[in-house]
Parts: sequence; C-alpha cells; structure tokens
Amino acid sequence: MNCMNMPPTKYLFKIAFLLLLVSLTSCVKDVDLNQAEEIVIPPTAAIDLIYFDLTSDEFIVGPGGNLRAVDESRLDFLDDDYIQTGLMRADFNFRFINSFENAFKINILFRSSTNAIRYQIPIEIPAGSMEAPAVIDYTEIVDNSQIDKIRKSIKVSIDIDMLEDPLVTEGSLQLKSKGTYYLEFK
Amino acid sequence: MMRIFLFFFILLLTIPSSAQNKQLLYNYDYLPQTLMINPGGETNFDMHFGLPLLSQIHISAGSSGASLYDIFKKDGSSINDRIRSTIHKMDRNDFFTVNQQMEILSLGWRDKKRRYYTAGIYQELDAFAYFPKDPAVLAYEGNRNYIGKNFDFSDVAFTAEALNVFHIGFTNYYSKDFNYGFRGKIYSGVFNAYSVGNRGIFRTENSPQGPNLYRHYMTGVDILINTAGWADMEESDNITGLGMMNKIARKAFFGGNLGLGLDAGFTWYPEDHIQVTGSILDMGFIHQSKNVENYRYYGNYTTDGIELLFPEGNSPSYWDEWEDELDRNLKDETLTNSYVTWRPVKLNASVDFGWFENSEPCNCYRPMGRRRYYNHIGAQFFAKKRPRGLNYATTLYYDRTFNEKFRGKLTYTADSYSFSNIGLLLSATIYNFNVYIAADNLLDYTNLAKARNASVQLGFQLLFSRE
Repeated sequence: MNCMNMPPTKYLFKIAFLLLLVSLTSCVKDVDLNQAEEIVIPPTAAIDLIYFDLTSDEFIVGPGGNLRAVDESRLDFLDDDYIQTGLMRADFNFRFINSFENAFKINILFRSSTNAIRYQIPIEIPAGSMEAPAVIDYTEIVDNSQIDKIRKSIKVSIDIDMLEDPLVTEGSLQLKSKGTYYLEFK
Repeated sequence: MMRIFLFFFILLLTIPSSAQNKQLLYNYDYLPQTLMINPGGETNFDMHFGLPLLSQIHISAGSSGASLYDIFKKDGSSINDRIRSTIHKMDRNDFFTVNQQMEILSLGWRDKKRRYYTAGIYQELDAFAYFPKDPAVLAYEGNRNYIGKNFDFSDVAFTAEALNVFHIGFTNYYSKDFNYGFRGKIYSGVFNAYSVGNRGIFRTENSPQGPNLYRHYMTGVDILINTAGWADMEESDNITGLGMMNKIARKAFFGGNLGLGLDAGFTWYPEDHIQVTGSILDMGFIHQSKNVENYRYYGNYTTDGIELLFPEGNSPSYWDEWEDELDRNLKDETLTNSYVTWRPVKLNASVDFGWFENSEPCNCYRPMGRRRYYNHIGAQFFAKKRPRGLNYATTLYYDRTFNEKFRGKLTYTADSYSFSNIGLLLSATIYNFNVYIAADNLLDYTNLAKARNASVQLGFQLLFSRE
C-alpha cells in the first residue's frame, strides 16, 4: 500500500460525501403546488343531435285543424355526471331545409322526465319550393345563466305546425342539428 | 375530484430517471452491485455480504417531455396555459418512467479457481408510459377544433410491474485477458399491467352529403389492458391491513406469476490499459396466469345522431335503440386469459482507459491478477427495450481511487431527458464495512423541480479480501 504520491484527499472526500448526502434531501424551488387548485380541464365537444326528413304523409291533422308532426327522444346523457358537474354552456345549431310551399312554426322543447318544459326554442321557417328550398340556420346559445335548464332536462321534443291551410304539396322538411358543449372540470 | 386526479397525475408523471441506467455503478469493481449490471464484470474483493434490505436501494424517475417546474412554476402566467402548451409540446414518443429496486439479500464468494459466485433476492418496481397524445388532447380540448382529424388510440401504451427476483450467478475466469459470466433469475410477479399495441381512430367529419351535420367514426378500435395480480387485491376485504401484506408477501415469494430470465456479460483486456466490457440483462419473461383480468374494448361504429321518424302513436325509444346499436358495434369484454410479458431487456457496453498504476501487490486469486490503476476514463453506452423501441443513454466517466478506503466516480450522461446530467458516486470501505451513495442529475438538485429525471442509489455491505 503506497499512497505517498497521492494528494491528501481524505478530507475532501469526506466533505464531498456529506455534500452528496445533503443533496439527496434537496428541495423543490420556485414552484407553487397550490396552483393545482386552479387547474381547469376545458374540453369542448361537438356532437350530432337529432335529424329527420319529413314528408307530407307523415303529418297528422292537429287540434287546431292544421297539419302537425310531433316526436321526441330521450337524451340520457344529460343526466350523466360530466354534464351535471361540468357543462357551462351549450350551443345548439339547427339547419332546416324546407322544400314545401308552406311555412312552419316549430318548437324545440327540452323537457324533464315528467314532461315539464325546461327550455324552449321557437323557430319560424318560411315557405320554400322544390327548386329553391328555404334554408334556415339557427343557433341557440344557452349560456351559463340558463344552462341549468338544460342540465335539468332529459329529453327533447319537437312540435312542427304547418302555418297555412293544409294544402299538401310535394316536398320535405329536413332538420340537421348538432350541439357544441362547453365543459369545465375542476 | 377531476382536479385532484389531474394534480396527482401531473405530480406522478413529472417527478424527476433515465430509469435504470446505473451508469455510476457500471465497471465499478469495488462494489458487488457492479455484477448485477455486468455478470462478467471484475471485482476486487473475494467475498461480500449485503446488509439485508440495505445493500442496494435504487430509485429513479423520469419524464422526457416536461418537468414539475414546467407545470407549476411561479411566473404570473396561468397554470392552465402551461398545461395546454405542455400537452401540445409533448408527442406520442415522450414518456414517463419510474423504477425502484431494493436488494433483500445479496452475497457472493470467490473459489480457488478465481470464479466469483453470487446469489440474492431483490425486489423491483418498474412503470413506463408513453404520453397518450391524441387521447390527452381529446380529453383536454374536446373534438370541436379537430373536425376532420383523427384521434389515434395507438398513442396509448403503458406497462407496470412489481416483482421479486431470485438470482444466482457466476463470473468465470477464462484467461488473463477475458472474463465472462451469467446469472439465472426466477421472477415472482406481484403485479402486472400491460397495454401495448392498441389500435383505433375516433374522427368527426362534416357531412354535407349525409343526413346530419356531422358524422362520427370509431374505426378499427381494439384496446386491450391486461392485468395480473390485481383482481384479488381489489376484492381484499382488508385493503390496508395485514391480509393485504400477507397476499403481497406470498406473491413475492414464488406465490405469484412466475418467470425465468438470464443475464450475461464479459470483460476483455485488449491490452493492459484498455478494458472493454458488455452485458445484456433480463432476457426473460413472466407467464401471467394467476389473478388475470383482460379488459378489451373493440369494434367499429359510425353514427349521424338520432333520427326522428314521426310515427303515429308513441315515439319509439330512440335513445335506447341508439345505445343498443352502439353496444352491439363497440364491445366491452372482461376476460381472464393468461398472457406472457417480456422483461425490458437492458444493454450495456463500455471502453475504459486506465493510468497511474496502483502499486498495490497483485492478489493472484482475483480474476485477472492484472495491474490496477488509480485513474480511469471511459465511455459507456446503455439501452433499454421499451414498447416502441430502445431508449438510449451515453455516458463519459472519470473514476478515481484515492486510496484503499475511498473511491469516487464522476459521470456525464446524455439521454432522452437532457444533455446535462452530471452524476457522482462515492464509496468508502472501512474495516470490511462498505457504504456507497450515488446520485445523478446533480446540477438539478439545487432545484429538483426543474429536473426531468433523477436517480439515487445507496447501500451498505461487508466486503472481504484474502490478503
């Protein structure tokens, strides 16, 4: 064993050893984990809603004597947790294409399970023709002050009333629709 | 609730490892742990006995794409903006990893023919996940800004396992220039989760020719998550108590899912000053057959929304029909099929140059009976097999023996995490008692939050030489 020609490193070594040990307990700086409180996950989902293509034979004579069509569908996702806790705003976009030579009055209704009306969207559709169908693009923005009405709904129904005399012509009334759901999870 | 979940998700995934690159211990012939990374390695003691549970404690964690600081720094900007930009900055090949090992038992001895035998038990935990880019963007932003674009579920790939390893090995003296060794391993798996090779696309398109405004597609979906050793944990009545500990202990000691593995390595001296080494570790598999659950979600589905038909009389149950159709096309199954997992293979290779001869007399029982040097510099290459290919690291090192008691090693490593990883190993042996401590990414220890990875190893053992 000959260390004579080596530098006196024993103390340096001890100091380095201690420093290394201390470094293992090193800290985490310039970060604020409390910011986790502010984290929001903000997805926006764009999803198809209902659609139809209604021809004259599908109308019935309504209580007012005019031609009428009514249908409804449950929207079971409306009572899911992510809607109940996260839905902040919803934009509903409806595109009607009317090739009947009649105008329509339409009511889109969001209802509770007991059929109570929670939210109502009335839309008037002008008369069109086979050659030049009337196209109505309608967007209903349900903002934060109203959104609870959607959250408390579970189904959507649609009432379609032909405005003029029941002069049945050829043609159809189409609906295409989508919802844009602004969600925020905290 | 979501927020707490996200918080822990981020915390877990941004904890500062070039998981399991033990660059500090490699070629370090004063410590028996060097044999665990090269069974053909040289050692300069003749017997070792690790203090039970304390001979090696290794922890490493890493994130290739982001650090804790990237998310939680205090700079006046909004944390939500930082999360958004981090999600966009990372890609599907960024990954998060945690690796932990602890030697339960470690011992070794040399025979008269210069062969060194080792035996022991260690426990290991290894988790690896690629950043699931597309599903993360979909969950965070939704699909509205991505109409006409694919969300690809193949971005989801992760593995996690906890196991006990029982091993026995030897290092054989072949000639004064060449040493080789093997180690056989029996794995006893406590827990495994494996989800690799997922497929499928979610896509929303504008649909001018279709009946509605959009058309939504789930195409070629096949998502499979295999787990083993989890099902009976969930059912345990006493999830925190002794019953649970008992179950884990039973699985750890051959009661779990069993597998076999092999390590191999060599040391070669082309000339006195130059040493070349190489090793391959954990060529092995585990047959996951007990407490297996496979969760699978698969199929194809296209939808335009709900069509109203205006029938006479009551409305049909459009929603229920739509859900039934969805369930018929996108199926969800929980099965109990056995599966095989391959352990992540690790490769090491190095070239080392030694100088400044240590005049300590040759102990001819030692493997090579070679000249020894106070100083070594070297380069080491490390690779580990992961689901989508190899993760690499390259290390340059300086290894210095101060005297027969003290030795240290300084490393510089470039890998997927950074190009500024400095590591330091110090070991001291006093009256046969050895203690060592090693840590990398020292530059980041002043603020661990900025580190993308870090690893720590330390241990205590008894070393003996025939002098």
